[in-house]
Amino acid sequence: MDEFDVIIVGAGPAGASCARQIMEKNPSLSVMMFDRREELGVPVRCGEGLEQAAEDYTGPIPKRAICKYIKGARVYAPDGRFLEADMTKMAGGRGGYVLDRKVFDKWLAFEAVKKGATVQCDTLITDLIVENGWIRGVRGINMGKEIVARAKVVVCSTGAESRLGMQSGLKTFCKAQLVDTCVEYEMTGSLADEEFIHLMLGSDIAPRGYAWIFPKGDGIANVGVGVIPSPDPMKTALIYQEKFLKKYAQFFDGKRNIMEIKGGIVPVGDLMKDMVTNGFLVCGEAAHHVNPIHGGGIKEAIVSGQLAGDVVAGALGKNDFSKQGLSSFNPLWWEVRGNHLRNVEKLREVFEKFSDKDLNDLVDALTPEDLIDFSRGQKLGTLAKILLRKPSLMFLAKKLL
Amino acid sequence: MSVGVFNLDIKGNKWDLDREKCIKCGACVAVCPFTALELPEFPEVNEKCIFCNICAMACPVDAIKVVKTNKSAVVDKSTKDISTLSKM
Ligand SMILES: Cc1cc2nc3c(=O)[nH]c(=O)nc-3n(C[C@H](O)[C@H](O)[C@H](O)COP(=O)(O)OP(=O)(O)OC[C@H]3O[C@@H](n4cnc5c(N)ncnc54)[C@H](O)[C@@H]3O)c2cc1C
Ligand code: SF4
Ligand code: SF4
Repeated sequence: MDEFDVIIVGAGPAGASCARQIMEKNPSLSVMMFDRREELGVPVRCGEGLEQAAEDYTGPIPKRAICKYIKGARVYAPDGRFLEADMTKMAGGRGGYVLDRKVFDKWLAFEAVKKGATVQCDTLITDLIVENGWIRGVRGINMGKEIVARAKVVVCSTGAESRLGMQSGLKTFCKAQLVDTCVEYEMTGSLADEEFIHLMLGSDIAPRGYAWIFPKGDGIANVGVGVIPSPDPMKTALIYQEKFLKKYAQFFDGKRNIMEIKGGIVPVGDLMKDMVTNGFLVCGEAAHHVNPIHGGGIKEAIVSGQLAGDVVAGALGKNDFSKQGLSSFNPLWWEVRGNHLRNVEKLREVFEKFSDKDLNDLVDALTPEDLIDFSRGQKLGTLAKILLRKPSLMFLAKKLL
Repeated sequence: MSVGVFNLDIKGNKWDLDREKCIKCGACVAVCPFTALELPEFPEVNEKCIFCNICAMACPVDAIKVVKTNKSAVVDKSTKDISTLSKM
């Protein structure tokens, strides 16, 4: 049986960032990342959009992991009119990227490995070893063989798909009403402006969520929708995706060359309050650390993983990896990210109540800067003021004030 | 790990996966409140399933069919959460 200081389950952006941070803080620690995938980053379940500001945390992203540099976003109201937020013209002046996550995820893991962490793919972790209220390690299957490994701390960064975290007793479970279900095609023949990502709103194409075109260059784009789950088989993400392709047919060459079909869910709320227990910590999308409006989870996973790495390294330094020893992760994450994301969630709750007409009207009332502020959970008062002017929406203003 | 199958039939209550439609995305596994699904490759259901239909709701491509005709055949572990959901 193997023993490590830290086992990290899931070598996505959260897990890899956590491993790298632990090694940076204390290179003498032994850190093992297990991932069920046969190839890190594959299959891609993502639109691959990332704001450039993420490089404050990762350092410069290598060119080979970037498909397209993006200036900002166009957000389309249900009637087709759009607001353009050119981030290069705003404070900070930085745009974003559409990545190649098959390369990006491997690069992040490699950065951790360069610092001394170890990674083992094709290892499905099936169980946490729970002893007297402590998590002491994991059991799993590595390339067909059963494995058992013990550690002082187990970090769960398994993304939204996994149920492993539930075995710790923490509330990692994604409630169905608080996830969006998504379908995405990587396709050729996109005619949309490649300097921007395109986000389309409307109950006819994406109830509660939105539809998107994220250009990867040369007319290749990630094209998808995320919608609220519904028991009606006529309201699946796939059906909305096809409606979207029809409604915005002018953005495609009509040849339907689809190179990849991806699906998945994104948590859009229910940010976890308590993310640690004895010998265990959950971070990234597994802890629902995702922007509840636009579903962006890569940067949130990186920040969450890094903060988790700081806390785990600190706890090991003090030789206290009990719930108490790890508990500083809760206030730390909430201070750095949680309070912003909770504001974004409030906005999402308000937008959810809007009719298509309200959304159309909003395009007239907002500036591009407002859009960026909202996506960061700032200036909620601006929206509240607009709502107060409309008798039908006044009741929603309360939520924001 | 419980042993999973692609089709479950407990006294007329059914859970069926259409493997032709399934794109192996794992959405169903993530939302099942009873850890009744595992995703070795395709999702597999086990006897913990209470036929609540939540996985089918989250499936982006309508690959899961759940039929619940016999309410007494399964231990009803429904929570308030689930009863409100199935009305959505
Ligand atoms: C359709 C879609 C589009 C999206 N578009 C965007 C976007 O454009 N921009 C953006 O920022 N975010 C986007 N997201 C969200 C983003 O993909 C995630 O939030 C992000 O990947 C979370 O990172 P993570 O490291 O927490 O988890 P993940 O990236 O999911 O990594 C988790 C890792 O854990 C591994 N794992 C899981 N369970 C186990 C287990 N039991 N044993 C071993 N290993 C395990 C997995 O194999 C995986 O490698 C999108 C999501 C979807 C579904
Ligand atoms: S029907 Fe309900 S209990 Fe059964 S697998 Fe689906 S979500 Fe789980
Ligand atoms: S949600 Fe649907 S497509 Fe995705 S794995 Fe489950 S059955 Fe397959």
